[in-house]
Amino acid sequence: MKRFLAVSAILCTIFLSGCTDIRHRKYADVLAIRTADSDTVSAMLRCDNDKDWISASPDTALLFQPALETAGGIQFSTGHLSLLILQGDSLSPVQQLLRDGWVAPNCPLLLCDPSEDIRSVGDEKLSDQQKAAVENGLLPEIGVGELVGNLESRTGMALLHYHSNNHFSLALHNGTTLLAVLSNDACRGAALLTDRWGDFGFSEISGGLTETILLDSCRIRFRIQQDSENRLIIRTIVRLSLRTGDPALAAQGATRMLQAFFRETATDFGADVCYLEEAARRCGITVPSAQQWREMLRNAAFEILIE
Amino acid sequence: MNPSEYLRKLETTMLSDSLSHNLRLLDTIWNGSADLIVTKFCLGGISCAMLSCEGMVSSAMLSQMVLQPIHSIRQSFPDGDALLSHLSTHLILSADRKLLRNFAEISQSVSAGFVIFLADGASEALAAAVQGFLSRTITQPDGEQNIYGAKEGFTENLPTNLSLLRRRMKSPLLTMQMCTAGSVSRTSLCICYLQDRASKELVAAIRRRLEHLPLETILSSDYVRQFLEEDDCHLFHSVGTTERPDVLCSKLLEGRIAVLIDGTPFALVLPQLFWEMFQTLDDYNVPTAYATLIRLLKYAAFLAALLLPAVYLAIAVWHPELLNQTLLRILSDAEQNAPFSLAAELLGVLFMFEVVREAGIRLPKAVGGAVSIVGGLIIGDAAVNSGLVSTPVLTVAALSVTAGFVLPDLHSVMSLLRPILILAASACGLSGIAVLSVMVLLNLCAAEIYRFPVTAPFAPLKFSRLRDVFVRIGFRSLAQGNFHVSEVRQTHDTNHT
Amino acid sequence: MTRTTPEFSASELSAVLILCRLARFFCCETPYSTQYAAHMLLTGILQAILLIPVFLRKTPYAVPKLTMRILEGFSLVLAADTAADCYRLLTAADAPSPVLTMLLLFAAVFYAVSLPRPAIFRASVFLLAAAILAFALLPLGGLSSARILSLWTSPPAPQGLLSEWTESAELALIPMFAAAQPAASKKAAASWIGARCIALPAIVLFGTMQCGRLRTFHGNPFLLLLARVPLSDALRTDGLWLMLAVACALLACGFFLQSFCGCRLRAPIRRRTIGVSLLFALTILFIIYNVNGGILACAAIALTILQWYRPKEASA
Repeated sequence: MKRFLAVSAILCTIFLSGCTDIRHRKYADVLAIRTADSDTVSAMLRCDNDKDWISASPDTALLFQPALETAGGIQFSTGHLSLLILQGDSLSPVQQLLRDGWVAPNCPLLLCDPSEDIRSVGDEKLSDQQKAAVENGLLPEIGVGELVGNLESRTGMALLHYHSNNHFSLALHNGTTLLAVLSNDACRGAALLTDRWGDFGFSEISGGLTETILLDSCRIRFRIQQDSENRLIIRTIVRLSLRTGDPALAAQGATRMLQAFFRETATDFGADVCYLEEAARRCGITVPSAQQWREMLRNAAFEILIE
Repeated sequence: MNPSEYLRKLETTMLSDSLSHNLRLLDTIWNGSADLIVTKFCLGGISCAMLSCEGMVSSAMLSQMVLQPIHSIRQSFPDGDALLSHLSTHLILSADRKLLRNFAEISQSVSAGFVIFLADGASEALAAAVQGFLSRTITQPDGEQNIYGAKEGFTENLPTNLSLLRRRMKSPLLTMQMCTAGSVSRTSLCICYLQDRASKELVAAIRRRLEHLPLETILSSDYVRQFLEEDDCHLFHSVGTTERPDVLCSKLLEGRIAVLIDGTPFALVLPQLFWEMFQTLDDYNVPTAYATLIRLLKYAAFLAALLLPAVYLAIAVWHPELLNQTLLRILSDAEQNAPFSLAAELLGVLFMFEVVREAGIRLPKAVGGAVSIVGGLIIGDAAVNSGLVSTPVLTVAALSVTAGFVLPDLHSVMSLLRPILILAASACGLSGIAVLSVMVLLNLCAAEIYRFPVTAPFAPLKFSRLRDVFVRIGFRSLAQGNFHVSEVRQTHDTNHT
Repeated sequence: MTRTTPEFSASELSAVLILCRLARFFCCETPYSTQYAAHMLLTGILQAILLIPVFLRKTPYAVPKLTMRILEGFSLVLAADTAADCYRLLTAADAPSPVLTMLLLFAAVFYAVSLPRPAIFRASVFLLAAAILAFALLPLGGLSSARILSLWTSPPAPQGLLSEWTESAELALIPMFAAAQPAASKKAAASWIGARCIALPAIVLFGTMQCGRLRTFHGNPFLLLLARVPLSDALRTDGLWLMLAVACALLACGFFLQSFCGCRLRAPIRRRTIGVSLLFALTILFIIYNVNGGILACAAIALTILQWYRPKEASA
């Protein structure tokens, strides 16, 4: 009996001291963080079902929540964030937000052109449009985790979705500077590499006729070798599964897209955004320092073999 | 003088040769009780008296088996002993006859429906069984419904219950040992077991405990149950009850021991393992796959009944990111206008459910329908429409309570633990639920009865015996290597006796 | 009649040892990588070699008194370290009211210690079964997002070789149990080694494939793995895994503390346990470096009440 009383007393102390009312909170749908030149940060938030944005200017990106809650007069939760919009050169807020758990690693993110007005761009449709672009193989699936992981890799460069003039593409970024915006073919090549799309369709012109190719799946392996001059030869072996279309044209199109991708990332900037370093290690190649690896990628020869 | 001492005194007070002295003493003992009928007559030249208890004897049996035969006596007898011996040997037709020597035995036999013969000059009394008291007929048990099983249940009459068992187990190995308990009520108890399967040591231990029960009266099986269990602190019973003779037979076949109590239709079975609360006889009357599905459903229902309100509270308050957006929006909209906190709402709704349930049990059947109307329509519907309680809370609470109805044996545990888990969830979220759940698990795992762990055969693990715990394998496999409860008994370290 | 010999079966001892390791695994902050998995395997093999005397022993033996005292003291440190790790996990996972949860954990641990020893062993079997079921479901959400090339991602720094020894320190307690029941302890040790060398490295490799190049998230790689593998779009399971982690930590702390108290089956806990438990709480606080006056006060109250715990003697 004494034991019961003792345990009950302890439990009551714990429970009754911790009872809380349900918190009336809203659930953030879209969070936008803008970093300007002088390291000023502004943050905007749109909650689920709301049309209005809440704006604030926290001292640092990590202080966005108290600033926005003060501005909006309501608590909110970022557990269901469907889109993180960035504007500005620096990606350090994203790294900080991820490390401290404000955003999930799978949260989609989007880099917007500095001239765009986020309030008009970031409506309810933007997130759906972005998902549709990924689903249709126009863009690869890139989350916050993927971005930060690539930024922390040896070459320190990463791809992320880019929005400008109502158009989605991919941007190559090194964390502090936007290096390049990839072409459509390069974007599709990046999507092809990830194989996380629902429908991948494109058109190829053959003999004056346009033929539509639809892919079911795409499996890619890298075989990397070094020649006598220590130059990398990166063979990308692609196994395509066709739904409709001519296999030759499909191979032609896939080759074109992948070549554009490698050219605009690895060759032009020495960027490793598709796990080439890991593939090299698997093939027994020693990966030197970051600078040397970037040079090796710039000088590497890319071969595409379609099966 | 306390009842035990009084009883001991009666046991040591022997019958004398004088009929009048014996009758005077009986009158004193019974304090002139109106239901004690004393009939004086003369048989074979010897003064006799016949004692019976009004309402306990059958007039027809008394007439046919006792009065008619004794009235055929024409000869004389030298003394009372000779008369009683002649009655017992040649005349009285009752199958159950015995000689009584002290006043305790006489009182008990009269109360049990025997007719007692006293004769002048005899130092013993003759008792003959002519019971004819009215008792409830055998009906289907209310608390253990089955679709395919027998429709017979135990009644309050111990001999009837024993006959129900004996009819199903026509084996001489079925042993029934009688004993009495209750210093005032002197209630008859019967320990039943199969002598080739039950441990004699266990039977002796149970008998010792029953004989030393510190109770004055035994009005229901739970009076005895709490003394057979080893600890009051355990949430889950280690002594089971059943109203069904078929279920009891199956338990006896596994080497368990049953205690039947006169005056209550619930038989006690020990040891009871935790998993048996999820087993019903219908599990063995349906196909294997369906039986397994139902068994798993019961485990899921138990977890839902216990944890659903607390988990809902923890997720809604502390971990909303676990839900998807659509569901979250629905819950959030529903809670926006609720005046009370989620914990208060849940506790209030569960409290009302318990009140309605208790009212439904206590109310007479004629007005029982009113409880449904009041509970369902007025409280449930009106509370939601007025905004006092949100619909998701009511739904969660209703689901939890309904899931609890699947396991009526565990209702008390679930009713006790639900509010505590809700409080833990409101304070600490899912971590609080985890800690409290482990405490409940530890409480369950610590329960043992006569060295049978209640969590066997899962812990300690006997893999081969799990075939009827989470799943129900086919009968052909089940029949090979029947489960004996002695397999899970912990061994005793004789070096540390 | 009092049983004074601890009684546990091989499966029960295996379960509790594996849960102790699992509790530390959940709380571990070493990023997942192929190198970490390899170090785990290597450490497991070395520990298996160290356990050879346990495997060879067939008869019970007596552990020298001084060794027993050292092992019991070590159990206290393990208990406190596990509790501190649990607190860190709760903080890293942004769990609600970590301080309150720790107080509740203290109450639960003391309750566990007050029960007869088989209770913790049997509860471990249940919890291990739940853990196995959970881990069996884990790959379902992550098969499609696993990237095999991630296995060749270089870790930020050499990982795991030393930390593996500290996190599997329950190895040192195995001889305590082997002394009384060598047969059961042999099987338990084998299961523990098996889990260490097969199951945990497999989970680490799975996590490596999921996390890609991302190495840091809340400081806890298991939380990162969970963030990458929701069971479905409708259901995330992070909070449910947190429940499992806290439950494992609770049982591990209870087991270590019972080993420290030198509890025999159904023997009463002596008053020295008050000082012992105070030491336990202070050690936790020291390890956490986060002395909170509230925790200390509530722990002291709980410990004072603990002296009323007197498990009943076994009945005949």
